[in-house]
Amino acid sequence: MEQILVAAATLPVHVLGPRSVLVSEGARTGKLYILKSGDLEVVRDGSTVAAIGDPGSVIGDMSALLDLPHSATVRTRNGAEVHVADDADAFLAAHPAAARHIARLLAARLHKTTALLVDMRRQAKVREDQDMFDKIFALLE
Amino acid sequence: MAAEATESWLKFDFFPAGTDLIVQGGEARGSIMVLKEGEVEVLRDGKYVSTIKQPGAIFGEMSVLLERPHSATVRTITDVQLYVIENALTVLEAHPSWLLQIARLLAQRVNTTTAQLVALKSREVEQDDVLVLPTNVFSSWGDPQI
Repeated sequence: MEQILVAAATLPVHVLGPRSVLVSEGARTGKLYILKSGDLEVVRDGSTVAAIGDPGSVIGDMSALLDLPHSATVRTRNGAEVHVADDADAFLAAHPAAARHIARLLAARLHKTTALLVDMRRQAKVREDQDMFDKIFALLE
Repeated sequence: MAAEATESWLKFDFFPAGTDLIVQGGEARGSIMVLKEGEVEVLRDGKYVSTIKQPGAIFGEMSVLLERPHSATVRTITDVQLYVIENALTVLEAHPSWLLQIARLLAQRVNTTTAQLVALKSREVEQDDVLVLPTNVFSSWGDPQI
């Protein structure tokens, strides 16, 4: 967290009041945001799905790296100060520690999604096997 | 398996079919491998996950970045030529554009696995069946992937 804040200190800061929208779901900005202070919430399809309050939290990384629209809206609760990198690629190329931090975050996220996927597939397989046994036994009865 | 030094941190290496390049649970040694030629398979808990044959494909980056044991086994299924980047974190920091490439690659994989999870999850809902997974699992990651 600290390393990214050191790198982010070179970026301009946007100050947002209460209930201000930082990024809108569906918009494509190519920007990267790093929380300096304050609190944010993530809203997807009208419901709040997460809160972001740790300074150094990164917002917009997936969208910027993959050139995709933002998958959720992020807005302030009481207000926030946010560092903004208008050109995410240029910022990360100039600050390897920030790029490493984001690569680590993504690796951790991938580790979680992969573990869940493996787990769900295993459960689905168990259920398929169970279904097959049920069918076989139904035929035997 | 003669390794040929090109730069001090880069080694060219060759492995015959059937070699475990990475062993699940094994300690990370801080190196990343880049496939030059050949095919490898990824196994998790002894079960086949995928085949990788695209030149330039990398493996080992997860445990290097996360400093944790390898989460899967990577085994050669043909003779394989590859590059080994030793002290990968240091090397990558000296080459931020590569680091950025890896971040992009990881983001793509996160996107793919998330889509697969969502598809599996919605299939469950359609089947109206009970699988043991917390209902708030997607929102509880505390990592909202925006």
